[in-house]
Amino acid sequence: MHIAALAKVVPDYEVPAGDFELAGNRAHSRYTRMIGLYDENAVETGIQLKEKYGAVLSIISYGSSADVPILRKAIAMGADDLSIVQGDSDDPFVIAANLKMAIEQMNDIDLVLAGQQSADLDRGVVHAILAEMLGCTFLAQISEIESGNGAWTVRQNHENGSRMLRLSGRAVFSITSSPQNVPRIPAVRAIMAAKKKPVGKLQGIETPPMQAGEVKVEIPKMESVCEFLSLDDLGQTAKTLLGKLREERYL
Amino acid sequence: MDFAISEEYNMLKSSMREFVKRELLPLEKAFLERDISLWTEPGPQIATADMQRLLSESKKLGFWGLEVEEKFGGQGLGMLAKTLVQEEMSKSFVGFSFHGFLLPPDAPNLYYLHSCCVGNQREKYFVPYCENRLDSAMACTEPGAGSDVSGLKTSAVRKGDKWVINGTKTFISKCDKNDLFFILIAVTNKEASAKDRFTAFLIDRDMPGVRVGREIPVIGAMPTWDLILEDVTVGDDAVLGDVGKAFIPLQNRFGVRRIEVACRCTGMAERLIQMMIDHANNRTTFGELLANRQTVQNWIADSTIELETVRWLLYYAAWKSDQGIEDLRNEGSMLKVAATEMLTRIADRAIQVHGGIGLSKELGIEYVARMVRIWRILEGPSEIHRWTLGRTILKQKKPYNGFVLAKDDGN
Repeated sequence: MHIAALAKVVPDYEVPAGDFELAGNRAHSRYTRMIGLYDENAVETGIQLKEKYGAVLSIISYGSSADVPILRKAIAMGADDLSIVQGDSDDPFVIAANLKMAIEQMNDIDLVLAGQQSADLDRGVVHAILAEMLGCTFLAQISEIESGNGAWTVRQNHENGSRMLRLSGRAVFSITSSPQNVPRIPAVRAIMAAKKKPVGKLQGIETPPMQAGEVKVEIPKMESVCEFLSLDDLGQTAKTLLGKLREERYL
Repeated sequence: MDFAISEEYNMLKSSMREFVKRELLPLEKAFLERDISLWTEPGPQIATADMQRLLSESKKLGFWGLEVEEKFGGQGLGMLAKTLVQEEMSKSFVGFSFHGFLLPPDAPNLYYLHSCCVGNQREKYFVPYCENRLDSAMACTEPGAGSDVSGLKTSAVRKGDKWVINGTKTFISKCDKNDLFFILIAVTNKEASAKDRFTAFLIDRDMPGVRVGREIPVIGAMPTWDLILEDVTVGDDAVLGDVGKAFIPLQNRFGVRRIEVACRCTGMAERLIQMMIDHANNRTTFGELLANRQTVQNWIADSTIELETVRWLLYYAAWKSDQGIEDLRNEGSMLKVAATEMLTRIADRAIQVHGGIGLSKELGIEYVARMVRIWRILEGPSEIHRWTLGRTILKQKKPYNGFVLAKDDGN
């Protein structure tokens, strides 16, 4: 079994989007960069499948070779190798086409896992386009995966619950976060050994982008104000709080 | 000069950051509440089950013995790696406090033991210490002698093939622990100069004649006790290092502790600056965010300048240790003063930015302020460090030279 987990390097997702200083319509390069939040769930899911079924787990990313030191965290978590397709497009069709090229070069990928959405643009479309390009099944919001009798049995999460699905053949799953796939913390020895694992660098391919051009990027500022109420008299504090909530028309 | 952090070290920091987020930060509320009752209900500040989990998880992740050689079960990564990890850990109150969670083995005594243990001392003390099966405490300070060790009175007298030790130590930590041994400093030749006067002994807590005296409450979480030694009789196998030669390894040991104290200060200073930033960006007074007040801006700017100044001295000292340079007395003194005084100022500003809530026990800043006040005395008061550093520089008749020539790689 050979599994590919897709990982994208994004600006620090703990910084509120509205606080980002933009340069060229994207977060300024001075922000810390890290693997996308859901992508780490996908990597963790891949590692668990590797441990359970003796699979090989490859990490594939589209981006800059400068992302390699950040992506190597996935190796330290337990992946076997890393491939970076070099390119700088934000277009989901271009990204999907490049990822498809890398997957096809590996020739034996049985399953592709991807975070349900990146932590920067949050579009959540690349994996679906990729599945279409690969001509295989796509299932979104997957939280658990099992393999048996030549089929995948998966749990798909919904807003109010989940359902189990079974399918066979090559597939692309978008992975959502769940208590079962909390990304493991890389251990010290794995960190120090991570550089010994192979890193493949592939030249990106030219491919037509979507027929849409970016005109402007706006990220609205979230305003929040904190006010402390005196606790000298709890009854009076409750009255003051009620009054303020009414003034602001929350009640 | 290369100031870049390696990919591996960056990942070590990230791993510890995640450990702090998942394991240490959730314990902070209970930790600060427990601090309030520490002196009326003595005992650990972290619940036993929590401590066992922290030890188990941190061991599984390989955080134990980062600087311990691999042959002794450690990671063999050195002082800079340990510094970066400890700094991250100290961004939580639990990882910052010596009475919170410590990554075994405690570094300063480890270095001392590693450089001086011989024969079966390695199997009896060093290896179990590395594996956290044994704990150790330094027993040096006495009622009449603190920073000035020349005033020590505890004596070890040769009788036949034995040493008989008598005296009283004070401010000795960890005395409530089982499986504890002391590195005890005693006078073996009172006529000799300081460099030849003291000998270090390995003394088990449960040896006949060893008695733990009263506990000494202080302004923060630093439980210490008196330690009374009455005709404690040991053989030559209890001598750590050479007879009469405890002074230099003792000073080197203090140097390591001073670096470690500095890590705790820089890590917590960063946390407090973050708290100041968050509060200033959210708190409005008289129609204006605190962040727009120049005084608050200056506090945050000054705190950042002071933190970064100390942080790079810290990394330099840790790097120097990794180059095999053991004598870090000057760097240790500089760091001890700079780091503890820096955190003192930042904690005070953080309280001031937060106003009344800054004084509250639930926020934790006052805990830091009390702990760092202790640290300006512990391991040598600021005045002693300034004095020894100034004296050394004046004796050399040259300003301090921090440059270390790069090693010739043969090319």
